[in-house]
Amino acid sequence: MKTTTTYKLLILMMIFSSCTKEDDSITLLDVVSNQVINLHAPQQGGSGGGAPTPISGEFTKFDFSSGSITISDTDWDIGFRGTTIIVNGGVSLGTTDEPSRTGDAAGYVASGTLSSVSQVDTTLLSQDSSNGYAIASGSGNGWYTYSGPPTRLITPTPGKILVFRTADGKYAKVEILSYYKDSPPTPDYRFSQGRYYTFNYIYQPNEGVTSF
Amino acid sequence: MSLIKHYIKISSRLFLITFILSSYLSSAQVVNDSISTKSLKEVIVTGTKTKRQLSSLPLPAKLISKNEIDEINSSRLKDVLDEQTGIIIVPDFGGGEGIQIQGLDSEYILILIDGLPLIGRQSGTLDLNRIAIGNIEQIEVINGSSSSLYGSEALGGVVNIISSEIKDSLPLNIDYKLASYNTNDINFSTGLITKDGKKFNIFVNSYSTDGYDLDKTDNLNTVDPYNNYTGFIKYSFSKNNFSFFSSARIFDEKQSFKVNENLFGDNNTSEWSSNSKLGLKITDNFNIESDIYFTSYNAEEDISSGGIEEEESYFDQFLIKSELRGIVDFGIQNKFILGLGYLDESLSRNNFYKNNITQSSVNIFAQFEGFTDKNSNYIIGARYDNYNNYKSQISPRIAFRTKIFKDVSLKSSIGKGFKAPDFRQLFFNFTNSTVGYSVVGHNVVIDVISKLTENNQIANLIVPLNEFNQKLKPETSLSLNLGLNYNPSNQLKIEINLFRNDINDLIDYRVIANKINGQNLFSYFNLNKVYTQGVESTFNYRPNEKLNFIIGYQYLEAKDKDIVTSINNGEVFARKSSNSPSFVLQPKDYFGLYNRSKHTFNLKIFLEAKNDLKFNLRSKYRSKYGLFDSNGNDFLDNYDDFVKGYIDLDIAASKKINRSITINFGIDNLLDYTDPSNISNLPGRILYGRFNLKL
Repeated sequence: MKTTTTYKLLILMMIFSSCTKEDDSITLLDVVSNQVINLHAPQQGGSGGGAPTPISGEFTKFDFSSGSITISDTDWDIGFRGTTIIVNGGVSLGTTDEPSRTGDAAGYVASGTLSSVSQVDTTLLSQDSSNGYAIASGSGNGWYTYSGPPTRLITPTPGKILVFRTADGKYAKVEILSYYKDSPPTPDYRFSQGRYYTFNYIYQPNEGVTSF
Repeated sequence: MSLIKHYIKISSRLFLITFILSSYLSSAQVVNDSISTKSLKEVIVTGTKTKRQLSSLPLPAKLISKNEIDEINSSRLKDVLDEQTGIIIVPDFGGGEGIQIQGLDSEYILILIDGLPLIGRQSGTLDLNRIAIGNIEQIEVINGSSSSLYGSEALGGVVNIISSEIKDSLPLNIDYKLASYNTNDINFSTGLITKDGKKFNIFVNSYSTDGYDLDKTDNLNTVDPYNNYTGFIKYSFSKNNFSFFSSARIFDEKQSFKVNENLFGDNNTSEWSSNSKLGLKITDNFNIESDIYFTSYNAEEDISSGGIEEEESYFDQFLIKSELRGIVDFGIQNKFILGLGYLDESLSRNNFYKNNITQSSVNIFAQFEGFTDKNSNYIIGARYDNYNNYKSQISPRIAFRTKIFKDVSLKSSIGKGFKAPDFRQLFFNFTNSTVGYSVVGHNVVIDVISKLTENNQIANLIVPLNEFNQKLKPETSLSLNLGLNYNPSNQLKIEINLFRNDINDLIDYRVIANKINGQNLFSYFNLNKVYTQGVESTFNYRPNEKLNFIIGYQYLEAKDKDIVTSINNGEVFARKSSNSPSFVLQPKDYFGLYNRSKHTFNLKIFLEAKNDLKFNLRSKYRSKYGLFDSNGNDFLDNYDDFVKGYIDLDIAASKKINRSITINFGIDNLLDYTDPSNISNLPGRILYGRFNLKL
């Protein structure tokens, strides 16, 4: 009995030591988990009182590696304007003030919770195009549901996780929590200020790693 | 087809089981109780289109007497219905108030006056505030599908308002009610009976109110002032083997309202109908009846700003309905009825693809009412409705009743119901002017999309257009009722009814295309499968003529079957509040369909004291319900916002001054419960006085 235990222990130690050896040679970076609060994404035009006019205005760009918004024309991953989300990959849909894409970003909408979406399905990734965005716009199509009258609220659809490939080929997943300033638990369309994103994200900084 | 087969299989089995069980039980019983005089008087026509004793009708039914309507001082139909067990009055966003029976909405409940349908369901709901009830003999309610006799819309039930007949010549009835919010309700009726037996009566009602405001912060009224008039005349005459009945009704309502500081609107609704019924007794046991009915409903709304018209909408509906029935009596109580019907309806309204839509349909129905012995009887019937625009329908029904013990009878019924798609679901063509989304009827999608595509308005199609070559199917249901009545004496009556409705092909809208403005284009499809099930029970204790005590309770579950399946598969997510992360929803957390309360409870006490004084107390409790999804998953779960449960308590007293004058006082909503943002049809406490003169 005693010999078998010692034998097993020995094997275990060998496995352990070989693992650490491999880790030493690659040194993976830690996965980044963060929350962004009140990312302001204004737009001009559109609907909202009076006849609809063409939507315009600069997108608010976000860069996962720095974890902050940016005004760079090239070093950004995703952009926000009103309810619209674009990626820095593919081509412009051609709306006014839409930035040109310089990177290789892509995205898709997965179903699950932020923790349950643990693997990127690279076959689902698509880029913005002249027909539409990688993250489809409109209520119920992408990340949000518009309740219509009488509550008239934009609510992030539960279980919709946005999965992105960043402009430089890394991966991130995002769960939007609120579209209203200071993310009130019960927003009211008459008082709450919209176009302020609060979201949780998890960023995988290691090149080529598709799991979180 | 498989649905019908399935249904026949189930129903025939059920019928056989009930039949064997009941014949066994009834053979074991010895004493036959004579039916009380009161229940003999209670005659109902809605369940079978023939005169029936309520106590022997094998269907779940309710009869509301003139006496009750009078004692509760109700002005409109909704006031009376609101106090009945199993009936819930639901406010509509359009301002109307509809009815919910067995968890089915107003759209699925047919409302009849003297057996003929009211029209004017602008967004599906039939507004019960339209109906004055000063000239009513009784209100009959049948729960569960009655499509086997009435066709479309009678999927969840039928409410039939029976107008009163005069008993002696030159009666005069003047009734005036003044209530809070400057609400004036005036009723006047009189009539004439000629020497040769011709009866003629007339009823006039005028109703006006200042409306009320529950939310003082928004500068708008919850209900703006309005007034309406109802006129009703009735003529009947019978001689030898021939009887004739004719009536006409008019209704006119005006309302001015404020949209915001600059926009003002006017609403104008006018309605008329005319109904003629002919009866011919061919032999002692063979009768022929025929009726022809015309009705028209016109609603107009103008919104203007500083005298300049901004928006005009209209809704003009017209219906012709005629029916021929032959009724054969076999033996003492067995009856066979064969009917042939024709319907012609037309509608013109704004936001429609075509200016005027017309549709005609024919139907045939047959029904046999039989008694197997003194204690057991049954109904077998079916109706066929033929349509051009959508699939024709066959709606069978079987019902059975038997005394299983001396004072206990068992009722069971199973029937198919349907509701034809309404014109809006077929021909709508609407674009919201502020937000920019569009809703298009199923039949006109191909035309509308091709036009929009030509104008480069469509970004991409989500549903391929060839799906619209298929016609929209009527919504169908299978309705099951199983009831137990315990009626040991005139003093005590206990009724319990279990119900289940399975509805298929429920029509709902979904996104079919994205427009270039980023908004969606919606159209109607046969999408959902839902069920409603529950139990309705009434306990009625009447120890003497002076006291009547009623307790009612309904338990209701109403759910979408596809959502239940997805939740069971763990594919559905929710949020605790609208700013927190999502998680997988557990099956127990699905609350069910919108606007359904699990529990409703009512209590009514009618008391007659000395000196012609009468008192009554009525209360209704409705448990919590949800009006919309607040956490983004598009259905109601336990983490959504709910409308709190509430109690509505009413009291009233009346004093008979002399033979012809009665004075009433009362308070509605004594507890002054209000919920401005969710329950728009519940004003605060209302005080009223009512004066009645009968000569």
